[in-house]
Amino acid sequence: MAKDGDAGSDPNPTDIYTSDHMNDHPVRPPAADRIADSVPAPGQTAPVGLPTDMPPPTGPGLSAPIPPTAGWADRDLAIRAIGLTKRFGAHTAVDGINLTVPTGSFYGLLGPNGAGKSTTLAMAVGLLRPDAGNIVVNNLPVWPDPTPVKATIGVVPEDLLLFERLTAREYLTYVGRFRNLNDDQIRERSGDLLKALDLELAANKLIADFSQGMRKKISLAAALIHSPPLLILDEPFESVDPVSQRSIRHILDHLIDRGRTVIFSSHVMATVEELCDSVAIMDEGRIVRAGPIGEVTAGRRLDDVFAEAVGTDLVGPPSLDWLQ
Amino acid sequence: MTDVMTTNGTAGASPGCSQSRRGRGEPINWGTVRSIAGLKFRIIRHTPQAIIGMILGLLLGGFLSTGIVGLIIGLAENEHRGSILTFGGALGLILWFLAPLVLGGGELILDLRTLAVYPLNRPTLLTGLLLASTIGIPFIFSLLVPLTAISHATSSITAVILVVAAVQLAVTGVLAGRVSVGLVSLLATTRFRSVAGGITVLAAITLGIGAQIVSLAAIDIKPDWFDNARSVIRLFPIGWTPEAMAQASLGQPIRALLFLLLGSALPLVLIGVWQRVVQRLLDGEAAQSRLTRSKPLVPGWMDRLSDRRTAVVWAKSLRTIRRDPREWTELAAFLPLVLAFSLPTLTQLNEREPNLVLMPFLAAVSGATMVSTNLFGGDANRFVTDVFPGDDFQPILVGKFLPRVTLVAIIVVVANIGLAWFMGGWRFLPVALVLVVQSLLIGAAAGVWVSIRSPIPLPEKVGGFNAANAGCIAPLFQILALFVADTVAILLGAPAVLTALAVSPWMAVVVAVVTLVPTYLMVKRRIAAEAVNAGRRIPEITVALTRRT
Repeated sequence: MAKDGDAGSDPNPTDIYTSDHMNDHPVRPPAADRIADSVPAPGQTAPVGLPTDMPPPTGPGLSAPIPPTAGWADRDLAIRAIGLTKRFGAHTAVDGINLTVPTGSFYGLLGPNGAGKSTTLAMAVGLLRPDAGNIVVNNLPVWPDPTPVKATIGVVPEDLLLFERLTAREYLTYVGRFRNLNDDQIRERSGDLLKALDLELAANKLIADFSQGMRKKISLAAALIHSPPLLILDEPFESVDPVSQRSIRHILDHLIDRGRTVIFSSHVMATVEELCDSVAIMDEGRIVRAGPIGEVTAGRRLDDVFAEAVGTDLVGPPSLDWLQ
Repeated sequence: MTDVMTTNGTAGASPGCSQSRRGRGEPINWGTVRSIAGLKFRIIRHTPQAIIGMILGLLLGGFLSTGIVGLIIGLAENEHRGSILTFGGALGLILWFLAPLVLGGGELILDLRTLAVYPLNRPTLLTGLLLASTIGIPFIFSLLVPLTAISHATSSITAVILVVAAVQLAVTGVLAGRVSVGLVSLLATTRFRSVAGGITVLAAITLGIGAQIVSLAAIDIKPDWFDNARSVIRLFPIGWTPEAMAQASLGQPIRALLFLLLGSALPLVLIGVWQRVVQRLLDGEAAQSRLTRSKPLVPGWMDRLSDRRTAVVWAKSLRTIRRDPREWTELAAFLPLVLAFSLPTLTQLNEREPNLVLMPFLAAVSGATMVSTNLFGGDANRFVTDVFPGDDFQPILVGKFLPRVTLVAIIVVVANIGLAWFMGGWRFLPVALVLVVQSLLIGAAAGVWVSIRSPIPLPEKVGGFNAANAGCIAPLFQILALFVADTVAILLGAPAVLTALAVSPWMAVVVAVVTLVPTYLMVKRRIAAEAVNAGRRIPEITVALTRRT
């Protein structure tokens, strides 16, 4: 899809497995059929759409609302957060942020260590209850009950959260079962994913014996097995070797081509600049820049914009003569 | 309450305040319930230490259960059978509350944080976790042993009540275990993690003391004691279901039904508490402790005592021990052992026995051995920041075991002085203290030997205090080291003890010092040799500490 955020909004996204780049597997049924297995049926939960006239949050400590970016107003939103806040004791990790992620976008969440990226993503995927604010994912409110949202997303969390004493294949089997896939689907999809992520030879090894990069890849496989419309990844490329990074990028690109949404956090500007069509830069719990990458950078390099946004001293650190 | 905007644009309660409505009316997905239970079974299959634990549990549980079952069946005509059933049932429930804290608990196998990623509704998740909790030896015995009380049935009605009560008792037990582990896990993920560690230690100590009291009671028990105990126990919720069994056993079906009904309140309350605990864990309470800062627990001057590496490691170890509940929980685990040694003797005495003042060196050697057998356990990946290949390992070893052994020394010396005051054996105190020092040295050497050969990574997971991730060799090494250290301490201490008893306590001091000097030199040489050995084994130790479990 184009990087300016104007494409990829296919209302019926096809499954990632239809890609002829992925191991030449035969074309399989559309993703909607597979996702239907895991998404709660209408009536089971109460999916609440985000009204367009939702007033902006007010109150002390809340960021000023970010006006909708031009070009996004007519698109569906995968994520919309309003006044999202999380405090840890006296420290405010996320400070009333407003975040809008259009459906079909490849969205990068940037920020220095401790900026609040992981905390924001954890609240978006239902792993951390916000103290204030609201977040709607795939047109479902995440809180108070994140279960319906969890059915519509794939997550690679910061801590990976794996069952270490399972083999890779067993792990995918149980994840598939938790995602309500049938045994045939699980077998087929796990085989494909293990192959695509170059984990076939390690399929019957315990995850406890995996390297960090392999753990990341099996976590990504688990996040993809139910073919979710939205993938949320916390530092997906960290500790992953270049060859595997390439495989992962390939898979993510194809997800975007099929109209899925990918949001990930990263410190690596080059990766974000190369992959993402939209970015948000966080600093000290607030979003300091957000929008299509072309608008955010305005022709400059992303790392320059980032440094400016987070107030880094571009001159560099004080003299470290003692290192000479 | 924080006002936030709800999706319909009106101000409402904060997200967490709507939890109580969650889960109502949601259907249980039985396929997922089976998967959760199957997941635990699968994980156990891949965990050798869990399998060995189950086999040992089966043997030990089978051995104990055979005796208890025989007792229950044999009591069929005994007039005190009701009291004994009430006491035994309540005791079983207390064990369910305490034992999982000490033994690690099932949540370490099925980590809730890992399950939190998946779209499992609360009824399904809770049912799955409950079913998974029944996979294991404790539940099997908790169900089967009370069922043998059916032999007391006087009619078909009382037989049915006994069966229902036995099942209710077992289910209550499982829930009690989940609630106690869940609460401690919740505490452990907040700023109250020290409290969680304290509760775990208290549970261990309570179990240690409880085991002694029960064994002492069994020696000289009078049936009236059970009758008195029953009259108290049945006033409390943990006594209601056991009392239903007692009443059924005595042929009182109406009273039995009444207590059975009352007893059903406890599992219902426990389910409610457990639901809330699970929900809080799923909602990310774990993150609350992320930015908790510890105040300096060791004064700064300690770091400046010396620029030698030993002092640096010593101060760092002391800080770690005091800040990390996993560390001091492990250290405190030796207390029940000391109690197990001392309580029976002390409680059996009818008069003062000054000679006992000589004995605390046995606690010292056991304590020093136990606290030193896992010097690198809490280091995990940090281990590599302390050591480098070719480095002199001795300062690290000494710096690590010294604070631990010092803590044992303080406890044992205080206990020894207390014993001298209580027993009136002040004259034995000097030689006793020399023996304590000697025993601490022996214990430390034995502990260091194990630490280097079988390091055990302490669990890093949320709520993990005593995960059974030690491997199956480590406990064998520990037992061997304990046996050897105790034997050596007794052999080396015997001349001084005999001299104190047969000749003179002051002469015994001379004898003790005469053995202490070569012991110190031998231990010093041993530690130096172990340091060289440790330097060679850095890769193996690193692998052992960083392997994931």
